Amino acid sequence: MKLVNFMMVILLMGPFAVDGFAQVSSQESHQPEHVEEVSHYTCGMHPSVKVTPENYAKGDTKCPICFMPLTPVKKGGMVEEKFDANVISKVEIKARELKLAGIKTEQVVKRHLFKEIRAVGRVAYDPQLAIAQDEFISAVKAYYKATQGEIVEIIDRAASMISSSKRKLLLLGLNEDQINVLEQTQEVEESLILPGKRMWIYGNVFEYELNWVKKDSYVKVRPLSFAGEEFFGKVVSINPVVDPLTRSVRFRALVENPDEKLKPEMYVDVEIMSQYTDPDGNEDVLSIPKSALLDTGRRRIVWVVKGKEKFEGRLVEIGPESISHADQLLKYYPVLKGLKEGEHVVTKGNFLIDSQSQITGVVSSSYGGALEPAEPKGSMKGSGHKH
Amino acid sequence: MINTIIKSCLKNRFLVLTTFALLVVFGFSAMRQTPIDAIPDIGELQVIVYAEWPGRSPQDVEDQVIYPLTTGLMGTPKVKVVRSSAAFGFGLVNMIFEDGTDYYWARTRVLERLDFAKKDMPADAVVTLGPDATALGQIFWYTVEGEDYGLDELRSIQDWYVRFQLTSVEGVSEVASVGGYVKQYQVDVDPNKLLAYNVSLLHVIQAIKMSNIDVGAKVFEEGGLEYVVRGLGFIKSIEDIEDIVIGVHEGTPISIKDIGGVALGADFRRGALDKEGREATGGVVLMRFGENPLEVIKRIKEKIEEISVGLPEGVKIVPFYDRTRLILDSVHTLTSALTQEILITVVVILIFLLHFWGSVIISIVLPIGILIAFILMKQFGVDANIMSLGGIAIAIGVMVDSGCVMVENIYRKLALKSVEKKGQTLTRAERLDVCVQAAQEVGRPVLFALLTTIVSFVPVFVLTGQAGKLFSPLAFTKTFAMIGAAIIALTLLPTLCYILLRGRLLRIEDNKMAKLLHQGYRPFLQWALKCKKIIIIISVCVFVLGLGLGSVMKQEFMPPLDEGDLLFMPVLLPGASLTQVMEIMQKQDIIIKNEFPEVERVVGKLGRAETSTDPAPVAMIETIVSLKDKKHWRPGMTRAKLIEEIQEKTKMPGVSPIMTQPIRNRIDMLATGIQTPVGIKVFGPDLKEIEKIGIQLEKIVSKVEGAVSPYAERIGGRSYFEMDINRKQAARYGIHVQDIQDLIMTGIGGMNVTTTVEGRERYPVRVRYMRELRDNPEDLKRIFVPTRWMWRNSPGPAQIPLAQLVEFKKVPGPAMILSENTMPYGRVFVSVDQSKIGLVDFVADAQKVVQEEIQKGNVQIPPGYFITWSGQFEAEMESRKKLLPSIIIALAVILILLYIAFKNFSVLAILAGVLPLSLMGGVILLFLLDFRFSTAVWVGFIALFGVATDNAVVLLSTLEQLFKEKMPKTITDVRQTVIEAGLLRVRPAMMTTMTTIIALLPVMFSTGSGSEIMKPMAAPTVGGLVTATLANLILVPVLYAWIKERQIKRLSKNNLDNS
Repeated sequence: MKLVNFMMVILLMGPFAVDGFAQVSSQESHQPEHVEEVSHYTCGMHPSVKVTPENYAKGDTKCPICFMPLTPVKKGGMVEEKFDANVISKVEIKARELKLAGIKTEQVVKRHLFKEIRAVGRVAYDPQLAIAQDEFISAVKAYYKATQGEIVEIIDRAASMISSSKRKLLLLGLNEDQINVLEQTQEVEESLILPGKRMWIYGNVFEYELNWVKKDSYVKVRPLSFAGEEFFGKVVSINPVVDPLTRSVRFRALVENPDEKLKPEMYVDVEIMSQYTDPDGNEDVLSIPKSALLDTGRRRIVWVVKGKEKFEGRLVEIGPESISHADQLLKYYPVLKGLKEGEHVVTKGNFLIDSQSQITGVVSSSYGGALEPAEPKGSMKGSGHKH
Repeated sequence: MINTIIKSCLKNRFLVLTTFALLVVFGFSAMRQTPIDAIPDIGELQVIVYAEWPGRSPQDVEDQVIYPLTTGLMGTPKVKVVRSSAAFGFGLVNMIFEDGTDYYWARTRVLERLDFAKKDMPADAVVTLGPDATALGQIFWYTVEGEDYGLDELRSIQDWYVRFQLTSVEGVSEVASVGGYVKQYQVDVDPNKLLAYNVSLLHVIQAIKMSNIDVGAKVFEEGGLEYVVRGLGFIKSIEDIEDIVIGVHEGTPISIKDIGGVALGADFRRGALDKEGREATGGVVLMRFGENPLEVIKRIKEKIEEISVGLPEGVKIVPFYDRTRLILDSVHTLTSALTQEILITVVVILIFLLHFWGSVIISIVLPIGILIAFILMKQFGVDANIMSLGGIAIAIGVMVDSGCVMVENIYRKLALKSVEKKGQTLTRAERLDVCVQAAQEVGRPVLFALLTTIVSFVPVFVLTGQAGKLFSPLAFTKTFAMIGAAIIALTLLPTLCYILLRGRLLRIEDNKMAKLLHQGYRPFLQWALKCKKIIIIISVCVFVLGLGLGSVMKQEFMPPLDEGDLLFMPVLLPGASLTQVMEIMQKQDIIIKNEFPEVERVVGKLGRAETSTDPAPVAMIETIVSLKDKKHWRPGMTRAKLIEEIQEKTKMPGVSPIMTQPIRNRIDMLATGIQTPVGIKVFGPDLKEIEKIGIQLEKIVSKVEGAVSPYAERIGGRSYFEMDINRKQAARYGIHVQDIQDLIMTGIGGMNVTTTVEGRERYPVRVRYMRELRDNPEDLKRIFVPTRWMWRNSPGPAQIPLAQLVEFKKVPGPAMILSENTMPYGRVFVSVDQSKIGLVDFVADAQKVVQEEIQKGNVQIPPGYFITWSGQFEAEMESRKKLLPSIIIALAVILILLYIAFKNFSVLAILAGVLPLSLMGGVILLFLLDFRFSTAVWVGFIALFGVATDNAVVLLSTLEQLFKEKMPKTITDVRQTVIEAGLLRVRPAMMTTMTTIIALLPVMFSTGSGSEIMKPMAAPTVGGLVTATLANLILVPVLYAWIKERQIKRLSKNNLDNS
């Protein structure tokens, strides 16, 4: 009898005991729901690790590299579409998440862009040039005088004086135009030795920057002595010879000096702003903010908005880093290929979107994410990896 | 021998009592002194050597620091393997020692070697031995907070005041700072001005270095006094730096302020702390190896109290992770389970014995037995934690068994004797005699039971790897408790019985409980003996059912332990910038704090705390989420749901929300090597080649039967911006590579050129180009390198821009470089579907296939490269190598013991038939409760095995004894004797099993920290004992009767034939 009672007790205890473990079993019961939605599991630090739900269920729950628990990747985030040639990756991200991550986008528009070159210079104090100018002017005057006479010998001598003093001016860095102006005005530039309303700035640029320094490029001059003050002008000429002492090339710029603050021999910082033109010569070029570009060294990628919650990683070709005319603090890249006017690109949080694309997106077979090297084709086709 | 012990104990009762009194005192002190932690350290025994080389790329750290370091450290005695990793700005060498090596001995050996290994280091690389703490060492985290203070000020308070004071606390190994800004004097140099004044950056550095020194110049005497002479010249303020002269330019001195600005700023950092959306600064306390965390935390808190007085107005130290709660919780879970167990056991004994003093005597086994276990734990260096206390918890029910047997026998004999004397009180001498006799009778069985339980636990002792580290404390404590119980049963209990069991003792037959049991059991057994076939069929069915269920159950290594606090670990891809990660961390912390009423506190850390036990990269956030007590939770909220909700609400693109737990994560972070079942290591000098081979192997292995998601590690992960020096160009200008490199290092990277000494505090002075002039590739081009030789009549060296000397490249590169025994390696990880193929077989297959492919030339392994096979299968092979023999030995020893006891093979056969049935009960219960097979479960089964054997043995020995006495000749006689033996044993058998089962119920119903591991361990015993008891009380007599009846039948047949 007692034994039967005892067995009854055991039987009654059964369900009771099960209740006691409700916590554990509820945890378990979540599993099947997940399995429906999850496409695979991956590691947050090593997104190329991909574990199928079946294997996950069998106990493959940790990243083999860092032993951290794997995170499920739901099927919703995947976009099933075909790729254009320059599209390397696509991803879908919920609006809420975008907002949380502070993703910002900006339209691709055409801008006037400038290349900015920094150089050091000084306000010209160049008695040598002043004297050379003086010589030239005297030569010119002498020549006119001579032409009024009829002695060919004198005319010849005056003409040869002009050409030798002209050569001297050329060597000192003036160009033909300047010399022509000088010939007409017949005035020595006093500002070469004394402060004036317009001052010459002698600056040095290095060989690698020469491409960007052109006649008529804007210059902005900041004397080291008065912080915050700026003077503006244009590049007038560029020396034809590299200075062996400094390994640099001298350029001359003329800047306005209304209050005569710039004094000869003052040290100044010079910024040369050179208009950017695309290979076809257009000044108005498509551009993206610098922050929109992810440069891996191997590829340059821009994330383009493809409708609400959808993004597309695109390969682009860009020109040199430039600044816009409107706001000289913002840096831009001219886009040569890969984007159309009016498209929106991600300017903040693009690294996050790129990362997400590697975790949940559809990635073209050659793309290992902005930060992973390209892999030999087909290497991702290992049986365990499922996209 | 046992008999003499029992006898002499009973004769020297006073001595026994005082000895035990002393043991109790000793046990209490041992219990108080035993270090208590939540879980045992399952990490490998490792000594970490930490090398810091600020600002250097992983590749540089690997080539110039880690490689020479590891070559020097190789050959340290008792080292299993030397693994190293080189990351951005630092590297770690993990020296993994053989298990059982003394920790401090190992550290000394490493230190010896380190002295020698350091000789090839670059001068500015700092190599130190990690703190003498393990992964479990991070017991206390705090923030230093103050409303009106800047992060740099708070960090200064932490670095120069709080940190050193807390380090002085006994038991603390290291206090590491984290978060905030380290104050730094920043000299930002404008390269244009350098160019204008024609001075080089190196001049600037030289000038600063030469302007920061105090000297002493002995003494002079004046008027009988001695004056100590000092020259004062330490930099103390920004002005001091601004006025440092660099050179003279055309007659005017040029000082620092002419070529740049000086400001107080923040040193470069690789870690930050955030408290609920506000940046914070704080520290982590690392406990010394082997200390008692509870005590250490207590002392830390006392110290904080002490030093709080000295903190500036409004500054306070606020803890945000404190191990105490977890430890107390898990200890509480177990102690409350233990007390409940003890109470329940006492009640059960009382019910079965229906004698107050008898119950008291048996129950006394528990407290004293546990105290003895603690004494032994202290002697053997076993710490108190969930596992070791768990060992005691699962021992409770079994511990009283020997006591029950002993007391029950003495009681029975005394009762018999008093019946013989017709109710007259027994004299002292008579009582003593009876006690000695009765105790001696059961002395051997008690010892025997002890031996079988200990022997059956031998396989647990030989477990290796993590499982071994986790379960050996449990195996130890259970054994200790059993030894304690046996000692008490053999020495103290007879003495107590003699003293306490007086007066009129009811005969067993008159005991109401016994009567009830007999009434129930007798008819049932009679019926069973008649219908043996039905019983056997039912048994076979149960057995098959258990087998079937067992084969479909899921497996896992270990049930996860609930640590109370959560560690939310969102990670980004390596290469994410600190600013980006910081933004994410702050947003997430705010959400977690504001949207979850369950959350008490959220403190996030990104990157590293400044300790070698924290190798986290900047892209990794570790947020400690402290939860409120469960009663403050929203109704219906569970831990699992909460985790899911947090992950959902904080979801951001590119961020993987991993949720783990603080201690568990620390152990994982410090684990090295391959943690998948199988792994292939590709060794070789070039990472790219390693990767190529790895990917080829990945493809090959994926075709091998049973392979699951093979994965070859990819080396990329970080962007490098490389400046490749064009030597021809540099030569043209007469510039050395070093000239360029110095500029790259200081101009771009910035360099701490000297350290100010301001009283107790020290701050670095850093020289660097102005931020906007070095922050992007375009500006880097305009970093000027002075030429070494002057050109003809030039006034000074020419300054050449970097753009003309180097080639700039952006390239992807490794985020971390791993090597083992000095050789870089890449890993191919393979999981194996073990339902299809065994691990060891799989490895053999895969090795063969790979070998074939190599021979065919499909995989090319260039000279200098090689592959090895590794992974958890090694541990499994090793375990198997030890486990199998140990199980065989354990079984053999038990069988030999049984044979010695019975000298009868048919009894062994019955046991062999009954034991599997007992195990199946465990399987069925596990299935009902939806537990998975884990090591914990296996340990539970091993525990069950011992108990089930003991129970069956007791019944069988009684059967044997009765049959020897009565020599039944007919089938009815046989059945009669069997029933008699059964009735004799039903009470003690029920008592022992019921105590064990019911004693484990508190464990089964517990919910606190630590219950996750204890439940699966207790379940097999509970379930198994139910079937074991039924099998024992029904199947054993049935089988025994069956054998005896057949013998008799054969005998009578022979007799008939003969006659």
